[in-house]
Amino acid sequence: MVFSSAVFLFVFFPLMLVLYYLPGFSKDPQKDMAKKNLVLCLASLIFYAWGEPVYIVLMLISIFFNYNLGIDIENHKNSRKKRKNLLIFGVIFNLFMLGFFKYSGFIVENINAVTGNKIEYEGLPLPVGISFYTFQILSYVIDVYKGEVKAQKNLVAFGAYISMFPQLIAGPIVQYSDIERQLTSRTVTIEKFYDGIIYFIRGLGKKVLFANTIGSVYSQVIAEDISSLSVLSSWIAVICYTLQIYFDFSGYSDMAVGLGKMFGFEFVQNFNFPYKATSIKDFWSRWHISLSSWFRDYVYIPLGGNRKGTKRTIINTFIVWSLTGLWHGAAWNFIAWGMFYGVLLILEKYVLKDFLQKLPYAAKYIGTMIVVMIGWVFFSSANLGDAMTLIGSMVGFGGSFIDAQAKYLFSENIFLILVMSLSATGVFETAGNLLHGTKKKICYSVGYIAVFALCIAYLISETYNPFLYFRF
Amino acid sequence: MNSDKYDNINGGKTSEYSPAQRGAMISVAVILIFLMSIFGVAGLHILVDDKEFSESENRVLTDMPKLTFSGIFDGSFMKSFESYLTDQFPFRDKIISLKTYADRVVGKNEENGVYIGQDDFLFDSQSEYNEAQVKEITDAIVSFTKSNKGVKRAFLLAPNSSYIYSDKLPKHLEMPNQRDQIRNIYNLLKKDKSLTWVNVCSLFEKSVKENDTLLYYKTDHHWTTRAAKKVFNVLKEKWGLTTTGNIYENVEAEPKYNFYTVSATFQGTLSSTAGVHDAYDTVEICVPKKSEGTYVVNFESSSLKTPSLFFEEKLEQKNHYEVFLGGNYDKVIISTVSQSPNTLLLIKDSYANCMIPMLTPYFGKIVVLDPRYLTDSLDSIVKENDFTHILFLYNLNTFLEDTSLAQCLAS
Repeated sequence: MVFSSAVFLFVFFPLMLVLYYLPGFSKDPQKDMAKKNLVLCLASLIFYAWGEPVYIVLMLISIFFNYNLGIDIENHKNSRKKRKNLLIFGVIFNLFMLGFFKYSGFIVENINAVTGNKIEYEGLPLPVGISFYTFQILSYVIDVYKGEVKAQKNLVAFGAYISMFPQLIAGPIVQYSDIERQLTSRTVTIEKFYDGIIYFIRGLGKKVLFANTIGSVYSQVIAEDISSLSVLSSWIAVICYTLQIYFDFSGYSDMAVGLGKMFGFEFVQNFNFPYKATSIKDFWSRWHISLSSWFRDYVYIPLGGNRKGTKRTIINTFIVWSLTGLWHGAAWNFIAWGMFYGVLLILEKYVLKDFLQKLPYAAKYIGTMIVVMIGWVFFSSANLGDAMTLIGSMVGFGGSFIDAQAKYLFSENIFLILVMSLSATGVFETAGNLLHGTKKKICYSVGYIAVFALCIAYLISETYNPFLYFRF
Repeated sequence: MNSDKYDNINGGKTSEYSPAQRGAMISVAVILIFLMSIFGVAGLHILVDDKEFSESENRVLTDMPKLTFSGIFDGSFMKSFESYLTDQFPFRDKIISLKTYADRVVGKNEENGVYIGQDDFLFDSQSEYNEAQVKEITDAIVSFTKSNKGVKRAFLLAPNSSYIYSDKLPKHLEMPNQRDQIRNIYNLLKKDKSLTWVNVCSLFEKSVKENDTLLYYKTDHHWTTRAAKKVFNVLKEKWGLTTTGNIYENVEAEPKYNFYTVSATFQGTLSSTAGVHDAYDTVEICVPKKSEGTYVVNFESSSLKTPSLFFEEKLEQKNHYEVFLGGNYDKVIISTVSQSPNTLLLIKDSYANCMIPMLTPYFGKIVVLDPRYLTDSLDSIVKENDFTHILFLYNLNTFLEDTSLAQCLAS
């Protein structure tokens, strides 16, 4: 199930709210919380099973396995070796689950390419959110091993953490230590619920009104022969994709944060205006923050981080960024995309540092955005060849600088692109701060309610499907 | 500062509520509106009876699916439930208009592949010109017409509204030049030297310049009856059609035609596809005077025989263009009382449907074939009948898209 669907908004979510807040089972706050967790856990499992019912087995296995593993690790407090073996077993098990479903096709493909064999494989549908929840599980298992958190003894609370529907599909990746306390004690106030609604609508608007609309422009352009696109057309396409991926992803995170708030949770902020960044390092401290922190905490620092000399730091950076690329998808262009950032970050840190510092703000900003957009070309293309072709068209190998298609694309979409760019760079946020107090709150509230109405209109319109038997 | 302003609203009296209380009240209001909207939709769903058929989308809407174990297990229940929910969404049609309206506010002039032009004109996108395919079709046509040497043969190829009314297209939208494409096709067809050709582009461009009549529906992809009449007039002249020797000769020297408006509320396929319902079109029929009861129309595939080329009941339905001939059929045989020795083979797409009544005074028999639905062999149809005239009538979009014509001619 996705948040931006009628079935979520008008069936699942209202039902869930009623069951979650239904009073009367027990006055004991602890028991009440247990009931709330149970509703959350069961609802999350239904949410998960909605698209691919069979995979619920997978989720249940993950929950039971890691629940027992955590307790086991904790029970062997005195035997370091045993604990370590359990940890290794657990990490391998979880990575195997991820690898089997996400990477087996990719691995077989490459083995075939290298050896010339023709091993056949059947592409399995990817279990929803497996990349996200596997990382959440790993954060739990590793932290229990390190003794930083206590093993969760309550199966329902643990199940609720792993399967929690607000962040199940697209993050943020909530580390167990951040949420441990909230699993047993959390409160909702009117203000928090209000904030949750605003966050949720903001996210829904980003996804439905912005990302989907601009995304269709991108896919429309890219469906044509990309080797003969004019310079302006290819830039419009790449700008559209740049906007789409930000609004899609950050929209999802906003919805997750908002839903979390409505159930009393506080999730970490996942995006902080990444398109305001003035360096690559700055960009990655603003983009998908929960993923970067995860890799920092569970890969980069355990590898030694930057404490073992320059050479080792560079190697560690490369490892982290190749894995970051691979995490995003099982294809070489994702690895290339990750390595691209690895190289740039190293260059930025060791080679160009002094030069970059002297540049004016505008140059730093524009340079960063161009790099990011080129990164998205690698990210969005079906393969490396297509990525290079599109970059070729962006610098004029496609033919003309401007053509009829570009003019039309420009005049049809410039308004949206401008509004979305202003929104992505936080200009509206700043403008909103000119208002204060009650007035600001009224404006925001009315605005967001209007956005909610529009979102519903766009969502329903997606299913508009006239039957034209009289087409001829 | 801000609270001052609010105090003024209350006639200068100090407000009863502190800013914090006001903030809380707004929060409660927003929460209530939000909850009411999500619960309200669920409630309306339950209260309002499900609709079976959507008039605007012209399709049967999804019913509440049956809950079965296997349906849940393979996920088909969930899929049907989602379509049920969106299909039966309260005020679905109104909500969709809100979206198309919002799109136009932000400068989008495209819905579902239909372009929204000026003055309520809607436009289809144009079919791609595939040289190899055009060559194949024209070769097939030429070899077919050449094999019917003694027969008068003509080709009518109509451009589409997006070319003729290109000044009404959304700004900066450029479409291929259909005049050039049609000229290319003509050059290929000229291999048959005695093929009669009507330059529809020039005819229509002149008409647009003089602004004499609407040539295409604004909300549908067809030409209007008046446009068809213009083309028919030229064809009649080029073929030298007369009523000599048939019943019309006794009535008048030349059959006169009357136009009748049969619908002023037509919203065609483009309107449906785009979900834009701003304008209505008028549908006219054009009939020769004193034509009533002068022909029998035989729909071979359904063995239906009627004395009319018009289907009034179609005006009760969505697509009023189907008033002409009731839609598209593989093979329709029209026998007229004109006693004319002329027999016509008409190979056509739906553009021909509104022109057929104009042809009836001049032919004793008209065999109408639509290759898209035809399963009979063309060869045997030609052999069975002694045609004096063969007419091809297509619009460029269908001509470029459709491969059944070449197949039908080749068989």
